[in-house]
Amino acid sequence: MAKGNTKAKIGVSILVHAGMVAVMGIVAYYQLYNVDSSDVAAVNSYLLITSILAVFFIGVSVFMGIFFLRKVAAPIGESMRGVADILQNVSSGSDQVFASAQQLAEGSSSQASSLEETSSSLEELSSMTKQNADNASQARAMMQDAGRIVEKVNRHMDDMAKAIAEITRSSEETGKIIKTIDEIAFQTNLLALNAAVEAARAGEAGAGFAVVADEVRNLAMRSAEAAKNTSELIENTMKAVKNGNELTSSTQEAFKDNITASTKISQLVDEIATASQEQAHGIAQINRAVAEMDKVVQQAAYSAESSAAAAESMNTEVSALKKWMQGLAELVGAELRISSAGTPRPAASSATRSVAARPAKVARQALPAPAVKRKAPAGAAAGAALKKAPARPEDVIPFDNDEFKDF
Amino acid sequence: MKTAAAADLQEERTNIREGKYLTFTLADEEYGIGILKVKEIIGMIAVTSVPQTPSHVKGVINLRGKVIPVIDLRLKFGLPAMDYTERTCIIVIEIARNNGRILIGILVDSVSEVLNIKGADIEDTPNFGTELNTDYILGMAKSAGKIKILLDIDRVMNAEDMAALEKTV
Repeated sequence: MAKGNTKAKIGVSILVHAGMVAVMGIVAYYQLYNVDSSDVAAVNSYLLITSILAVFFIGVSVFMGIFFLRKVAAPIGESMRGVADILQNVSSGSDQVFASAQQLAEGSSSQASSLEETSSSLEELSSMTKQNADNASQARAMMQDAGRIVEKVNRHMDDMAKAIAEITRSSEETGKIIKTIDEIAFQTNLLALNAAVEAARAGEAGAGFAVVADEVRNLAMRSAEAAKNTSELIENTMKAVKNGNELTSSTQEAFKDNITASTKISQLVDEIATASQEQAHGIAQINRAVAEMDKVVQQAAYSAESSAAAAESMNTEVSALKKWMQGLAELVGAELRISSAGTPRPAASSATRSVAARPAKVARQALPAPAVKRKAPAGAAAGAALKKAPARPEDVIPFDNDEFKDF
Repeated sequence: MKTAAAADLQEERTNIREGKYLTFTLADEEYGIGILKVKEIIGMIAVTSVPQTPSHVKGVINLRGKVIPVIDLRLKFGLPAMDYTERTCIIVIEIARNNGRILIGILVDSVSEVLNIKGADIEDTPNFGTELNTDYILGMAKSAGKIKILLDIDRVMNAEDMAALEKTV
């Protein structure tokens, strides 16, 4: 029935009732006015008529009232049924919301744990990189030291080469002198021989001279011998000097190779150091990203928590509404099929609690060990909170202000 | 008597050969020349070669104004030639010839010493066969376990050489 129609009908019935009451009143007054109170029969008949009329009108009223009530109750009942259905949908919808929020919370929880693992791996990586960089710079310093030492050695080698050249020169000069002495000895020998020849030619007179010549020859021989020995010594010295020279140059060669290798090593070490630096930068960036991710996860957990709490409160409201509806339905006389509200979910909240409660410390010095401990008490508190009727998110999530300080 | 005469002859020969000898080396062998034949010993000096002379005639040298021909004794004896060292010497010898005494220089590897050789140490040259002419060897002297060949320098420089040499001078 259309709303307008119903309203019109009610209006009409009220008017009719009012009209009837008015008529009754007028009739009664007229009768009463016109009738004489001593006329008992007339009064009795008047009373009788009035009573009958009243009963009739009351009956009509009652009948109309019941008739209209019935006509109104059915739509009310239908509307209430409709509302009950909608409430059912709302209830199931809020259950879904809760389930989704729970899933989200679980997902956030696993994500947070992954983040923790990642952050601990990053810690290790970062410390190893730092170690690497330290080692590289140490190696670089040592290479520089080695380079300095090699330079020093090179200078010494040069000095030694100069000294050896000096020795060679002296030996050569000595050799020249020895050669001169040798020549002198030879000439003296010849002179002695000539003297002996002359002495022989002189015959008797030259006998003494022959002796002198002989002695001179002996001296010449001794000179030559000494010169020969000295020249042998000089040759040995020259050989030793040559050896020394060769050793010096081969040592220098070896050191040159050393320098080449050292230079290469230096370059490599520099590259390692630079790479380590860049590695450290990269890790710092990753750290920051992970921290951001953690924040986001925290936010998601918090949102999930809020959603869950809102869904819960909605469910509670719906339950209350259903009760009222039930009462109203009984009043109207309609049958409502209302199922009991909600699914049991005290345990589910603990997942969301633990996510929110775990402060994942990313990019810090120590691994966050105490975070795990919060899970158990938070879950218990959550379970207790759930049973209270209006659960506010702030009550449910044990975030204290001092915990926020860490962030 | 014959033996006595022979012995006398022998003694004479020995006496002749006894005396002082100037020893020198030539191709690792020691030779000796009687000291009276030796005029002078000088070290190696510049030799001016003369064309159209036999190979063993090296040339001439200027010795205090005198021009003296020089002969390489190695080539004369048919020994392989050798480069001159600082010990190479020229022995100036005096040889008697028809027209007087002439000076000749001989190139030797090195000069050793003046030895007084006793007659007892001199042996006669062994006979190597009839073809070989060993007139130019006076004898073999034994000294200090080695043998020195004593040269008769007059015979070393034979007539041919002398003619050639006279031409150069």
